[in-house]
Amino acid sequence: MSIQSSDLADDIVQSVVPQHIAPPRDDFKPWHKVRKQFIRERQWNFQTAKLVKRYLQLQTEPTDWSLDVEEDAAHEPVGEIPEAIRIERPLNCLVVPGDDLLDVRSLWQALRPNKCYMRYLGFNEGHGSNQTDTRVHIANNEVTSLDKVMHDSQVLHGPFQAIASENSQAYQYLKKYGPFHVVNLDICDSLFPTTTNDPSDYFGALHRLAEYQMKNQRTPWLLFITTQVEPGSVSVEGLQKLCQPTRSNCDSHPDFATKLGTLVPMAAFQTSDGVIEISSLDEESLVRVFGVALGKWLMQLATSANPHWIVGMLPSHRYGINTAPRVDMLSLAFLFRPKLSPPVDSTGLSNVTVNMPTFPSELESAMKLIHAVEHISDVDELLQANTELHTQMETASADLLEAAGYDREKYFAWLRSGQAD
Amino acid sequence: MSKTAKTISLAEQIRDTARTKKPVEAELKTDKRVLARITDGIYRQPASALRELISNAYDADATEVVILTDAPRFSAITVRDDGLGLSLDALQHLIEHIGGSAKRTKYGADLDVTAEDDPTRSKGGRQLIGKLGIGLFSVAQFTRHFLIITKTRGTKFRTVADITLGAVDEELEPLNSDESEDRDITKGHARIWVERATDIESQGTEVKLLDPLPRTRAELASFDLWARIDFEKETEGKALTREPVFHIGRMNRDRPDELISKPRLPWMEKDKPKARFEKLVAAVRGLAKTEKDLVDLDSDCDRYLQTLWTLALSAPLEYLESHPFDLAANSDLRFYQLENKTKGQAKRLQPKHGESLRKILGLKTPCLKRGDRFEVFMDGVQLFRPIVFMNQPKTQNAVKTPLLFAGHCREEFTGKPISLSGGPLEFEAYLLWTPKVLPTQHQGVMIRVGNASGAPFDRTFMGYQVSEQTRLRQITAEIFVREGLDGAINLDRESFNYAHPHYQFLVKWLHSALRQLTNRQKEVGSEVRSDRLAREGVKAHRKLERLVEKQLKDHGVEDLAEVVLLDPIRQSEAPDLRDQGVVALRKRFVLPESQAVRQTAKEQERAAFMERKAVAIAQILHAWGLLESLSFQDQEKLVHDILEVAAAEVEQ
Repeated sequence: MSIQSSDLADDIVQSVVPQHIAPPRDDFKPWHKVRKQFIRERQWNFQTAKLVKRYLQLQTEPTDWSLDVEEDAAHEPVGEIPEAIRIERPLNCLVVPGDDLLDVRSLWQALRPNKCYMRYLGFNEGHGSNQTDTRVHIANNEVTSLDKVMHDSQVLHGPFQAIASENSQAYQYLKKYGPFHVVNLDICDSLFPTTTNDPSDYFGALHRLAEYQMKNQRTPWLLFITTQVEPGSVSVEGLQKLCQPTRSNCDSHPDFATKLGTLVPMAAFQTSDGVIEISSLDEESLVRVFGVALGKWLMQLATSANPHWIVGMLPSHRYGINTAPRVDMLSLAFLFRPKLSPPVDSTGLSNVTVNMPTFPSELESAMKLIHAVEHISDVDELLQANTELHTQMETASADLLEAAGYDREKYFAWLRSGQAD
Repeated sequence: MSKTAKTISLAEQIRDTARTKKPVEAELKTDKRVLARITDGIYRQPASALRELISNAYDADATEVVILTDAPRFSAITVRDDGLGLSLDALQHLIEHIGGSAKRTKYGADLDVTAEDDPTRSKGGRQLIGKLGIGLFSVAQFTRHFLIITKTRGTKFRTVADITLGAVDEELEPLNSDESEDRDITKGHARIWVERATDIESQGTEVKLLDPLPRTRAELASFDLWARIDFEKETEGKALTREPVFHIGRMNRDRPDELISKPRLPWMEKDKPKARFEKLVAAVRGLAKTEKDLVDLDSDCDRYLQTLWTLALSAPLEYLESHPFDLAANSDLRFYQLENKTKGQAKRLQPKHGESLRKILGLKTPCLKRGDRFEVFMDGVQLFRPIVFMNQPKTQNAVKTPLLFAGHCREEFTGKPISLSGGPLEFEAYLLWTPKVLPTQHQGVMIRVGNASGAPFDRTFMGYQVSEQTRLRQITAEIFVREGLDGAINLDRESFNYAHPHYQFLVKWLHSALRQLTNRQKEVGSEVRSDRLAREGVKAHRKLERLVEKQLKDHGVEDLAEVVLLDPIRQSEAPDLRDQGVVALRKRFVLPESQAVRQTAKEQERAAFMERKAVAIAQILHAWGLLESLSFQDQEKLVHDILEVAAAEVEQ
């Protein structure tokens, strides 16, 4: 007699045996290196603090979002904002944090002078009971215990990319915690299309995120994307799609094409059959192509939305994570601004005067993008050339890790041992 | 004893982990008596575990509790408070006596968990809720793995206890074996260590349930409910069970990251935590206008929202609008003072305008002491006691003004040995009579000890035997025990030891209060009725109506519902009439189709009599409480069917 199979036990017994999580550990990872601290402080925290000062800590809602990206110091808050108002206006962050929530801790530190409250929603995959080495629960407890961190901040178990589907749990939570002022996608995978990796999930998620943000956010917001650029295994087909908006821009704006030509060999975009000539690009050029292509891809999302949004690339950075073959890590920053203009009475019947903000045209935005890509700086070089800066970042990094439960001395030992290189 | 053999306490070992960076491994210990009760499965609903953790936070003088789940997936549940946190000694005690709390014992003060001079109070002076401290153990009913992360103020470390629970097939010795009575047994494993902390001033405890058991997740996600609807659709072609009106969405069981149904919630994403709860309460109560007379959480909300509601009722929170004792006199409410006598008579109070019950009767029970704060947030919703006293719904009964009865009682049991009486018992209470209690889960009496209650409303009113079916369904009562009764609370905190003298005393007091309420309510009813009869004159004295009145009087119902049968042209008036408390039925759905070919005078008279019969049937059904739980459509169908049977004649 054969025994029937049964599914009755499925909902009774778990298939996973619970494992203890990890006590403090002293094995250091690439994201503990000094240069990552530079990215945190000089890119993420710096831009976020600027955003907070410029747009969020105002007594009244600003009516003019048209500030140029490079322009600074306008829109200073008028006097001290009352606590009751600040707590009502926390900085909403969407993050993909590592187990130690280092980036969130670091941002919290940077925002202290602004007395700004913050709330975060994180996505982390190493989260369940069967994850022996996760420390995310402890880190989350520590961070939410900090002053001015909203207590309902949380890290969800699962990949960020899941938000691509409107029916996903992840998207429901995105709606619950959004709209966001800062989105920091420090992803382990790569957005760069390679033959070993299909980033379409990420682009789907970025598209969904942009859709949600552009519909619900009324203030400017920041998007940070950290991704590898691996020339060795680039997927021509994937890169082809990503470069589509850039090629259209080249076709319609000769000035843009010319300017781009100063940055990368134009052959890359001008092949007869519309296929990018990857082989004609050196590593440096490929990084630039990717920077421009991703920027233009985001711009076409922003301009196709209604009301329109304007995207600008903020000072961005790169560093090498592999020498032979060279693999670059790109840390890109973008600022999204709503393109809101007041109604205008063209008949002259009304004598009300309205301030008409000026917005950059598509071409102007694209030209600025090229400029920003051209100035992507190499963090490794920067730190090597500036000992003072290096020491400063090293100390800050050690402070941060210590706050997260790591041993300071062991950290310095790790740095000195050369394993960090 | 040699130095090496000296036992180092668990607390010291944990403290040492700061230096060694090696966690301490410990077995959980408990005594069999507690374990036996708990493994009997006394906690059945996840709400119990959450309730116990909220109580623990309250006892630790927390001002805020944040509960976070990733609903509707429920892959983890976090309960975080900003209370005093557990010292290493307290944690050691917990691990070594899990299920046996130090609270309310002489150890309490030593372990710094209770006030120095009063083991029944928290350090901040709150009346303790937890008695047996099995709160944490209740968590074990819902997961096999949880973390306790705790920190006390002024320390440079936080402590992490990572607890996994043992295999379920552990052999237990016979529970009645005397020799094993005192022996500790283990049931789980803890890995504990301290972590350096830079936030020296912060304090609190977080309990994180990792990977809740499948049945816990199924319960919170209402899998059974959705499965039933699926089954009905499959076998019957349509769902007989209605989908809950409000729910958090439905997960795909096979792919728990995917929603099959999107949430249907009464609040918006942008709403503030308090506004969300206000909207939930308003929406649930509002169903009485559009769906059916009575609102039943079990069918109108999914399990998650029911859990939210249950927690809101049980936790030591503020009322959504106002504490009943703080209600000021106005035309919508009549106040009465209850007498503490078996045959007492409630006294009508005539307060000056704006004067509260608290002031007139000198009542002391607040939700929290002045200056104290205790707030609970669950997934962005701030919980309040969802019992509201103002703007009560109007209903079909003649008496429409809610009546609020309140009393205060202190019994010293003078002359009785304290070992038998359990010491003094003191409480304050109210009974609210209102034509319609919304939702039905609020019918009955709730006993709060130390400001919290583990049990839901007791619909039997502690076994009240008098047949007062309609009236009992119209009463919400709460008893706030200020001293005593905790000896009568069972281990699960969800039920009482009925034999305890304090419980027995409360039973007698409550039943007397119910009689006092009944008498006063009847008086008001007859006032209203004689007014109505005077207005309507003798034409109301028809035989059929007298028959209905007589029959219902035998059933203890004295005021009849107003029933209106609406012609098709007036059907749109139904919602307004219902809101005014009328049973409004659409005539063409109630009356059986006439077989007559011509509208003779006799036929018209017959039709008019049928209408009166329909009204009479509706009044009887209503008085028996059979109409309120039905949808308005079903009310019409039921009256129609009975009428048709009653009107059927013998076939020639």
